[in-house]
Amino acid sequence: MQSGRVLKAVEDIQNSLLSYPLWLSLGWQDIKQRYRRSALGPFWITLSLGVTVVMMGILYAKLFKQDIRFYLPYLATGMVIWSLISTIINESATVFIQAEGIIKQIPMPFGIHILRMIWRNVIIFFHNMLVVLAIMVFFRVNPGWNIFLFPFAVFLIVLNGYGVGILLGILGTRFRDIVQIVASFVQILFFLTPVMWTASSIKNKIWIIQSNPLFHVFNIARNGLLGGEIPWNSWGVVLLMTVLGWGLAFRMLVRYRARIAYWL
Amino acid sequence: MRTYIKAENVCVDFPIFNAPHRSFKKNLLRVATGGRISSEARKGVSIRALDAIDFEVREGERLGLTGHNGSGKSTLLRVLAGVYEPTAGTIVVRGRIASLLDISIGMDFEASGLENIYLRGLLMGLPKQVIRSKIDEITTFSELGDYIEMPVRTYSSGMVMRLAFSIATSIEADILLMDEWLSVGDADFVKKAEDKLKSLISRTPILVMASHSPEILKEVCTKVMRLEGGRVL
Repeated sequence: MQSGRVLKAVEDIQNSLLSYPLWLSLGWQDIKQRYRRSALGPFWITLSLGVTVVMMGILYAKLFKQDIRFYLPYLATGMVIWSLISTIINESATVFIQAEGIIKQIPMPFGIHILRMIWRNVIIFFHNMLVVLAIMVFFRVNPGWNIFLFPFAVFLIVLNGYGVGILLGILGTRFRDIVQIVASFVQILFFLTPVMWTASSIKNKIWIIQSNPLFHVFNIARNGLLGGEIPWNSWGVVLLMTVLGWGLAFRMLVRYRARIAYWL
Repeated sequence: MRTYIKAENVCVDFPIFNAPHRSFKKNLLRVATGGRISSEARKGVSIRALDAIDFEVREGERLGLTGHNGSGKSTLLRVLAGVYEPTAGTIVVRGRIASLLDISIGMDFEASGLENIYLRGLLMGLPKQVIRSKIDEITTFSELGDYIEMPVRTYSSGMVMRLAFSIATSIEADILLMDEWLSVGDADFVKKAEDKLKSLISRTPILVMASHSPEILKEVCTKVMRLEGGRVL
């Protein structure tokens, strides 16, 4: 009984990955649907983030008394990474609820719905990266060899996203309040994470900041784009988080996979 | 490998989380329609949609399901499709399943007919090259002509169903699942669709169909199972 459930959970993950033509198409379809009949299409994502970052950058550089040449690239990278992570977390809670129609008619690995959601956000992320690229070129930011670490950082974010999708997806389907709780929690997380502010501006009680796992995620991802010394301990923390998170997510999937359709 | 379906003691219980607990406090209620609603202090309210169902379908058989609204026909079809894993009992389904339960699910009305053929095809588990090879057949059969390049939102509801029908019936499988006999389009198309559906059924080893119509069940099915309150009668 138990081993059968473990096998089915493994198969679910395996087959979800193998069904890439399906979730790649569905994810694209989501983006196309959102921007159909608009002249700019998905480049609205790029434009709106560009405007926000430049306006906020100029304002906050003054407020925080930072050099704009440092602050604007810092803020741009922060906002792009934040938008990827926060949307994945938020959409995770409704990932199965959104797919209710399909889940109740066509049996397929549950992971497909999560990968579709992640792929959709990765597409948005690439559009947003154009803003970062433009700002990096404008301010002549040279990441050096660290740029080769950046894809790994993004990969770890996405990998964790799959785990979060399983965890919050299952919880959100069973307990519908989770969606609201997650939304408020993410809002708070925005202020606790160095997206807009720099960790170096805080002198004492640094452990409070460092106990936020997202601090380390931002560390490794930003470091890949802005250069500097490689934060090995942050890499360690993120890897550990990935292993622990997936351990928990996998146990949830084993236990509740067959219940998801019943809770919809 | 022969196609078959074997169900043993299949039960399906739906938990109802927002039902008023108090009104079901300690008894088992029997209602006119639907499955039995039960309430246990520890487990909360649940509806038993299927109750100890046993049956077997072998190659060449066409099983008809009948019964009142809420008798469990659609739930049973979804169990066969693999949507719900039984809460108790076992079900063995051997063979590729094509589910015609809701033929328009997953359609994107802003996308063109052509894009929707790909989308539906992928949802039904077909590889891209197989879908590509079926495009002509589907387009011709649906008689949509140049409309196939237009967004589906410009179609009339009949045209949408024609497209959905043409895609759904272009799939070959070992087991067909149907909730009511599919009938789409205007008078001419209805006849053509019926012929296509009949020829698809004749090529498919097993059919399981739910229907309220005794005539259709008699015409299509080799055996009929009547459900009531989630039980086989």
